[in-house]
Amino acid sequence: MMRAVIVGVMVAISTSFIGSFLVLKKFSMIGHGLSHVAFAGIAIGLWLDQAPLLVSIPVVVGVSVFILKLNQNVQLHGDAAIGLTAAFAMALGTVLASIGGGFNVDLFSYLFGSILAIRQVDLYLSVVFSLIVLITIIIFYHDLFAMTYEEEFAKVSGVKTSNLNTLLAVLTGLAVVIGIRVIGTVLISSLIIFPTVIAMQFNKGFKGTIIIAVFSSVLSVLVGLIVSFKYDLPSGSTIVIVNAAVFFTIYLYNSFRKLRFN
Amino acid sequence: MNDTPLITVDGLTVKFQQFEALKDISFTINKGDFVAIVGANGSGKTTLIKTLMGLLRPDKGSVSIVGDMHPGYLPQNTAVQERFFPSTVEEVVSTGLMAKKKFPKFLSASDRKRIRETLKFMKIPHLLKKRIGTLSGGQQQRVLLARALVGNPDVLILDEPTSALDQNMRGHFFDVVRHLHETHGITVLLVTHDIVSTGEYVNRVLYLEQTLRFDGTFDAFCEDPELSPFVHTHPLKHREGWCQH
Repeated sequence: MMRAVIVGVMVAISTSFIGSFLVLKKFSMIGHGLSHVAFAGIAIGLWLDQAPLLVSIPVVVGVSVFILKLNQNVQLHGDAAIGLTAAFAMALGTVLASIGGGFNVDLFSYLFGSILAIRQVDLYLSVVFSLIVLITIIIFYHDLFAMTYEEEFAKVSGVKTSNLNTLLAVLTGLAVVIGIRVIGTVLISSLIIFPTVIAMQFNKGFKGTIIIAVFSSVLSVLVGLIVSFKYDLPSGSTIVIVNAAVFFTIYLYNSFRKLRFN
Repeated sequence: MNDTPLITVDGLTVKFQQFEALKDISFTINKGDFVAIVGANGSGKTTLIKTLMGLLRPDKGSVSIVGDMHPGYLPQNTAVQERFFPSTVEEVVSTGLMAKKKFPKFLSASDRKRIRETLKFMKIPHLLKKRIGTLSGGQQQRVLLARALVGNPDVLILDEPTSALDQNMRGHFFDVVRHLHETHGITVLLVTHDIVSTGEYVNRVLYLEQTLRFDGTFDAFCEDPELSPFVHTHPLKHREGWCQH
């Protein structure tokens, strides 16, 4: 359980941090697309009988950058680039799962997350990569914010937006892979989207929104893990349900307040 | 205004696939110029300034900048992002400081002071901690002009800056720009449809129709018989001060 808590907290912090930029750049669906790619990466790892997460990292990071380049160079809209890549990755993963029939049960734990499946190596991977994601975002925070607010102005101001977009794609790929053990490939995008959407209900500035997103994400992951442990439920699904409950509670509260004061 | 060249454009052509948005354009912008770039929709105005700023690449010809140009840019339809984008005025204006900062970029106490001073200059110091999405169109435009100014630019590039403002706000906005031009010597490139409101401020007009049809003073622009389709069908041509010759 302790391992799950550490991994969960690290994943919650890094995905919510990066999610703030992705959601506000209207690129949050990349998390959903990369989760399909992660499924293919896991299937390749299991098929090759190698550590699935280690195999997934280069695959997901590579495809994340590929989606970005498709978007920039082939003039394919972000959602179309994500859609076609995700569909191909899912098809590839399913074919490999079908060929390697024997690893279907193992694959299920990667699809929906499993606390019991978290090993020591997963712990090290999540801590190291979460720190990389966090430190990198802090170092490039002002450039990332400028680009998120208005990419054209940022470019005129000397921000290297092309390099920064690539960096964001790499970090997103890492964040998706390290979240797989706790929340699973199917639901990882929720950890990118929910915390920012929840934080936006509080009407703060950008920094304030990130802080609330991180706090909300950590809290949801901890509650989700405890509930899933106590009632033997899939950890990923439980965390998503907690996040959804937090979002709708705040949304309804805000709507009620608006009605009352209008 | 003086004769020291700041930007030299020579034989500039920019294409979007087969369409030539700009065709063989040449001119020079001198330090201290206040230039209106006018033309009908699709005449290449925004393409021209984006090329000057390096956002678009020329297909032919060249754009030469003398020395280090620090542009302050106010884009078209300013991406005052959606109403719910979570950012304060201070955060938005701070992005205008990124051009001159070295890696790793962090905001210092003097940067924050500079932001407060710029907002004070724009007469909106009380908006510092407000969310930009909650402000009126006029206030947002002032914030974005503050963002363009906070880095001490030597050129101010304004792309249809007053399209969302009412007549009073337009006058007020251009008074601020004129003050910057006259007292700080900032070069101003202004893309506009509203040559009526801006004619009194500018000392030069560039008229585009993919090619550069006119380059001269505002008075000469008004008198040019070849430009009568643009000048004399302008919806606000009857306003006082508009091409009275």
